[in-house]
Amino acid sequence: MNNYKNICWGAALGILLLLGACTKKLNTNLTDPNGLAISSLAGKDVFAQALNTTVTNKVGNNISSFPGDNFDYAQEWMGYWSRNSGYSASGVGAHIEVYAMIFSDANGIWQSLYHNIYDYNFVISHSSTGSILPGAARLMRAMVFQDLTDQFGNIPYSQAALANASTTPAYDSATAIYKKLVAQVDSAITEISGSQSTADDASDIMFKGSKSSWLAFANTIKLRMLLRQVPNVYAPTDPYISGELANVTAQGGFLGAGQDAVMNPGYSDASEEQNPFWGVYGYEPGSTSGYQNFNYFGANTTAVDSLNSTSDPRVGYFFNQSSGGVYSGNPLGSPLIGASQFGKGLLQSPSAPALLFSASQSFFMQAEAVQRGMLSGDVAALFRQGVEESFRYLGIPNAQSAADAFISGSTDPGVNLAVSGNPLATILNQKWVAECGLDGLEAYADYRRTGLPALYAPNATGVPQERLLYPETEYTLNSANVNAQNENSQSATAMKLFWAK
Amino acid sequence: MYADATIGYDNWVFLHGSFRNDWTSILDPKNRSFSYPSVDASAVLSDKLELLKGGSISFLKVRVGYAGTGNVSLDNYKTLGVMGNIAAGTQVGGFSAQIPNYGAYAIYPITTVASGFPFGSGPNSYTQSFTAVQNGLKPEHTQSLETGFELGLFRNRVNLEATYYNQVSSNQTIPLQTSQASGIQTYVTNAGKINNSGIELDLHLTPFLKFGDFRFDLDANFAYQNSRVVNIAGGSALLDQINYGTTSLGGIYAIAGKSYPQILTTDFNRDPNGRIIVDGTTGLPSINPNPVDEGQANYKYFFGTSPHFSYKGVTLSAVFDYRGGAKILNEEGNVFDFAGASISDAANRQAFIIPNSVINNGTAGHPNYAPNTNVPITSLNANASAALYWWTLIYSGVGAPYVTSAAFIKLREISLSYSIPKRLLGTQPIVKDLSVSLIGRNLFMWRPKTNIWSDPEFSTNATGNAVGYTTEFQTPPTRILSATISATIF
Repeated sequence: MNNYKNICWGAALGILLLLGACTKKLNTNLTDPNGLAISSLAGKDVFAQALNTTVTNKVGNNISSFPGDNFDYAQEWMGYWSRNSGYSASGVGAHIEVYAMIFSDANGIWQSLYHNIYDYNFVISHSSTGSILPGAARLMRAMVFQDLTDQFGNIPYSQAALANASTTPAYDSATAIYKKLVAQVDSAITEISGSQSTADDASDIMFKGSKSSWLAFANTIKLRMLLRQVPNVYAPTDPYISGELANVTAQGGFLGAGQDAVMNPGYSDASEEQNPFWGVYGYEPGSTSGYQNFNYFGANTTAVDSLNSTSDPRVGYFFNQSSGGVYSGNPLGSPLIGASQFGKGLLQSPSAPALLFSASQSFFMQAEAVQRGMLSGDVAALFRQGVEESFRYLGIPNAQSAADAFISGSTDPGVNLAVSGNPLATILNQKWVAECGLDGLEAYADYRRTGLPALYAPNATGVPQERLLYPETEYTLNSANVNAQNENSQSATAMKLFWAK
Repeated sequence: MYADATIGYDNWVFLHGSFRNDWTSILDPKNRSFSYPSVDASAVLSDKLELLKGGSISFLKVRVGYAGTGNVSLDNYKTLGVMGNIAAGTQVGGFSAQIPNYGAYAIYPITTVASGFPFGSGPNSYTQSFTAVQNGLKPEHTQSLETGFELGLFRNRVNLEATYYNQVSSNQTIPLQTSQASGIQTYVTNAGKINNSGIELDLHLTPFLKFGDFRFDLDANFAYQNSRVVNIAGGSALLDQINYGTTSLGGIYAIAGKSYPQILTTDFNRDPNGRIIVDGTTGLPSINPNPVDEGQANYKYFFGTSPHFSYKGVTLSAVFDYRGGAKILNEEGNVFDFAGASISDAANRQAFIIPNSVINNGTAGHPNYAPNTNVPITSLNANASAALYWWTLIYSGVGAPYVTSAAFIKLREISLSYSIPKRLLGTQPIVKDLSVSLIGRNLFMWRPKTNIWSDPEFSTNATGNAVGYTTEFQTPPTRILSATISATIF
């Protein structure tokens, strides 16, 4: 009884009801008003960005990045560009110069290309089937995948870019990926052929919904995929190659004269609005000289010496005259004071369209295919058109006659097919010249496939890598799958891709 | 909704319980409501148990408690849900204007206008988020058990307080890092279960010794804590917890079955005995791209003591601290080595043979490692000396050499103070109390010999999850000396 009296309630029961009047409001505002929910977007809302990202990844990534977050390494290895004096090489920049990029150097390329593919996936699955977008996005996705596998070999493909549905995607063999990519281009061609013009065409900043342009581009990309595998995987007359090419020629041709695959969402000379190449390597808004946004790179002796030795008029378009009034370059890894910088053919204007794939390249690929007996045609004419288109793109006056005069007036076997004992070497040499500063990745692939052009290595410390090492992020975040590739040492840089020579 | 009740019995047994139900608007409607109870009991045994009375035990209290807590940790995670974060027209050049992002909108990732868009009058265009969020994200849930006692001996001259705790947190809301080949970088999901347990001991000896006016008090404390990641769902064994720009050296990770967080770094390829494998021609090692586990970043053992002497108006006290059981990645060391400003490369400017290195004379499949006695490092770059090449391109690119024990003993503080006796102040009416003191803080530190760099407590982000590394961007630790005169006037 006594104890019972001692029981006391230390604290009262307190109940606070916080809900009450708020109930109704809780269902709203789940999505941030600062952006749009993915569910409210369609393919047309993403396609222009995805195209612009593809070309930006190719020609110039953001200023703050290293010279390894994009394909600049290929520009250095192919003898187009090299480090200017005033810069010291560190990290990836130094690794490039000794052909020894390490695992972490490729993180940026891997990340931005796969995110780009992820966006193309969205366009493919969120566009109305009647429009040109699904087919065009499928083609673009195949092209970006080819760029990835051409750099890394085996890569995630069938499980890639599926977001949280596959956070550790398995790798597919590069050989199998190539087969699938060619089939994807075929599907894209079918989709594009069957499409109608819709309001979504407005998001197509490259071809404005033009079916014929997209088909020509698709055929050209398909030729690029097939040619890459000749002659080291397939003989030029292999039934697989001839069958796939017959399909292409039946669909209409490749990118023709004046038909560069360029895009322009409305570049202008304003901050963040500049042409992506200009935005990185050009000048700040409002100026065409003076402070350069990123002048880490200048001319490489390999390209300049080659252009000088053939008296190629393009030298003054690829590069500027150096302070000594001549065109001179930096040997890779050994900058010289006063080397030539980028010229007006590369730095055209801040509002110029960005070049994804040139007509010149299309003609050189056709010339090689004809020379190898894969296609029928006139090698000399296709070769000449390749050079003419290169002159035209760079803005040389009277491009056609200037190019013809350059070719016919030259006694250099690297320029004039008529005096060349090795037409393939001439074609690939001129293709290499035409790609100077514009498509180092393609030149790098040709070099690994054919060994052409026969570059000399100015710093004599080795030869370009056969591939990039997988990014460090894969070893931390997808380790089982990346380790299964057995390419885990620095020496894997010498492992040839399946189509390499 | 919250309810709380305490019941006391006879003033020596207390039972306390609470119940709480939260609703949060930032989760999916069906997961918004979550509730958690807690209950604890304590008994002051010294008040009741006859056998304790009159002996040397002056106070004894035991307690045990269980608590559940729910939590939603989506607050202001800046990178969640927004890609690029660059509004149209903002200046870049390495810096972008961030759109603030709130936990309130975290479960539905949004897309923002891509960089540069719209160009002029062209179309607007978007890119998908680098983050995906699990459908039906649930609140985090923590269950903890805590038990302990407080013991006073010899008229409370000796006080000992002991606590044991064990806490299990499940449904951790975690930004799981994905392979970037998935197109995204982060998957926010209920992924982790973490177990924290530990012991805390507090001892107060007041006074420990006393002779006349001389008095010596001693406080000491010891703690042991163990954090273990029980599991991480989603098949990924690694969870990157920090984003500090570079991944070339290493990172801080949660790894299932290990202490949390662990430091993983890049390392040279090593033979089974841990010796660096070098090339037989160049003398250079190769890098192992698979990150190597170097140990945990959080301290496991804590010991502190603070003696306190006083004699008449003079007081001398000090605070000593020991922490141990953790590693630290001294990223700043890497920067010094790269720049040629470190103690390591000051002494090694010639080509040298990498100490304790081996050469594989066998094949990759059947290695045969022999000590390297004659192949010094060489440069692969004609423009760089072997030493320059080594320090700038090889050694400074690997994280393992920069991981050391983070243990230390510190004399955190000494203070000496003197209260001027009242009689010396005389009869003047203004100053009533006057004391002077000298205080030194962060005075001495003893570190393991391997840690040639800095105070491990000065990591870049000592408060968040990203403990365990230093960079060259942080301010160095400082030693503070101060003198104080304080007076009470009027």
